[in-house]
Amino acid sequence: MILILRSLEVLGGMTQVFLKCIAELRYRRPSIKDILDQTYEVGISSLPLIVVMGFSSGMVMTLQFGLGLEPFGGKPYVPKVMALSVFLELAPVFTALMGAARMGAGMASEIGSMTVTQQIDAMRALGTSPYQKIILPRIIACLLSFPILTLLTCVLALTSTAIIGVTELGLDLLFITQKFYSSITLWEFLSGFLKSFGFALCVALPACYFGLNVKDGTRGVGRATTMAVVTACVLIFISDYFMTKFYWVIYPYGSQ
Amino acid sequence: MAHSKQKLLSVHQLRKSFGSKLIHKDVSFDVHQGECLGLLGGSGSGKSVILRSMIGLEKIDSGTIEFKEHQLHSINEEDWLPIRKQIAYVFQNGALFDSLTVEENLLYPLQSHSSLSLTESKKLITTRLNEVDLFDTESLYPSELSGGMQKRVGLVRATILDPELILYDEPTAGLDPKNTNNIRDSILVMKSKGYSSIFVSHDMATAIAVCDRIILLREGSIVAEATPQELKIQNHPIRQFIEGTQ
Ligand SMILES: Nc1ncnc2c1ncn2[C@@H]1O[C@H](COP(=O)(O)OP(=O)(O)OP(=O)(O)O)[C@@H](O)[C@H]1O
Ligand SMILES: [Mg+2]
Repeated sequence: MILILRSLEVLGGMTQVFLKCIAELRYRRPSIKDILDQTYEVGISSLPLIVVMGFSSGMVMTLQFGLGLEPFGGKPYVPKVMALSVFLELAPVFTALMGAARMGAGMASEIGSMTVTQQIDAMRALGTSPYQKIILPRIIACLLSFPILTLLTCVLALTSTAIIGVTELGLDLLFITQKFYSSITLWEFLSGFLKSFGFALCVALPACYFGLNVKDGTRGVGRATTMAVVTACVLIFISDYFMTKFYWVIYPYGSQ
Repeated sequence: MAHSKQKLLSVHQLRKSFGSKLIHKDVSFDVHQGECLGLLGGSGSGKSVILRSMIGLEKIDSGTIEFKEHQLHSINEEDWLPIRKQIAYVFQNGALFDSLTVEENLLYPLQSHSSLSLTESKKLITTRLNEVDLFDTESLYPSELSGGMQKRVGLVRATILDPELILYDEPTAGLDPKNTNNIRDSILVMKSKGYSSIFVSHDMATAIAVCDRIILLREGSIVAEATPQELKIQNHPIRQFIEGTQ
């Protein structure tokens, strides 16, 4: 019971953060410099993690599919299966989870520390808006970097699929690339790409909400960080289902 | 003498609680143009809460706060922004932005609100820092400064936009006599420039030196008022309260 109430409170708080951002945009724009700084911060800094994750998940999945399907003569289907699963689910979800761990945690603890040391209050006291200076640049940075990182994960995962396909499964490189090319239409591409915007919000909003609402000092910052990551992960999984469903409804497969 | 002047800020029957905890029952006082009002009270009596309500960082339950023609108790967040340029809050601990240097901290309000060029702003910053006895600190980060220096930078940052009312939250707490004197002199400089202020503290000596009038906050209301001259008398009730003999 208390868990339900608490979840509703968090959802309400995050909605409020979101609405305040929209309202803020009516009055003021965050500076391009702040946005680029943050994009660099969240995007570039998570590159190493994304590279390792994209590459190794592609390799291991290819190997599993290849060896698993071999007895049934299914090896030629591996490129298509990989291309579809990477574009539709693996890349957006894995990238978002990495984002929650890397950027969500970083943002929550940074904003949380600013809250407990009264830096957020100081911004307001100086007649400026923390939403313009702190919150919006971070949310926009996530919205910019998540889709790009997701595409990067796609490319890396499929590159590793090609490598493992040729070296371990004995498939032809030309065959693999042709299969990739024919499997991924605009529909598959957009499915994952559009989701990544939703996932960016699933990571950024909890980080900002928990960061802004830190109580009891340093211990609170730690708790806020944990809560931001947990909430982001839960939201990613739940919203994935609904976004997929929604996408199927507005843009049914095969109607292209 | 200050009483004859115009009212700048007027707090009337302010009431504030956190959850079920009542902090202020009925707080009323005025600040006049050019006056420095001392607000004394024990730790946890809610002095910071009063100051925070005056710049809208805390919402009050009932009562009125009037600043010039503005009804501060009932304005929304967006309308606060221009008013906060006129009321400066000097935070208890400085509240400097720790990822910015001293100079960038001071540029922040200037770039947000003033039309000064970068060179003019930097010149103004150096002048103001020198006024509070800080030299060559522009490129340092807050973590490289002592607590007293941080408080002084916080004071400069809050007042660099030439506000009409300055709220000092325990500016001398936890400082050694030399830093205390520094802060006291800075406050006197601000006062001589004609700024009005509220000085919140436990520090009786500094309060007597800088304030025109002193009020005592106790158990959620203002219980006594005195001039610094009256406080010099050994057994004045406010004096006894602060010194813990009552
Ligand atoms: N955000 C808050 N939530 C709940 N209680 C609060 C909050 N802020 C302040 N309080 C309570 O209000 C009371 C007054 O706090 P305040 O900080 O104003 O005291 P103070 O007079 O400034 O004390 P000090 O001299 O120690 O700075 C305290 O008991 C504190 O616990
Ligand atoms: Mg206080």
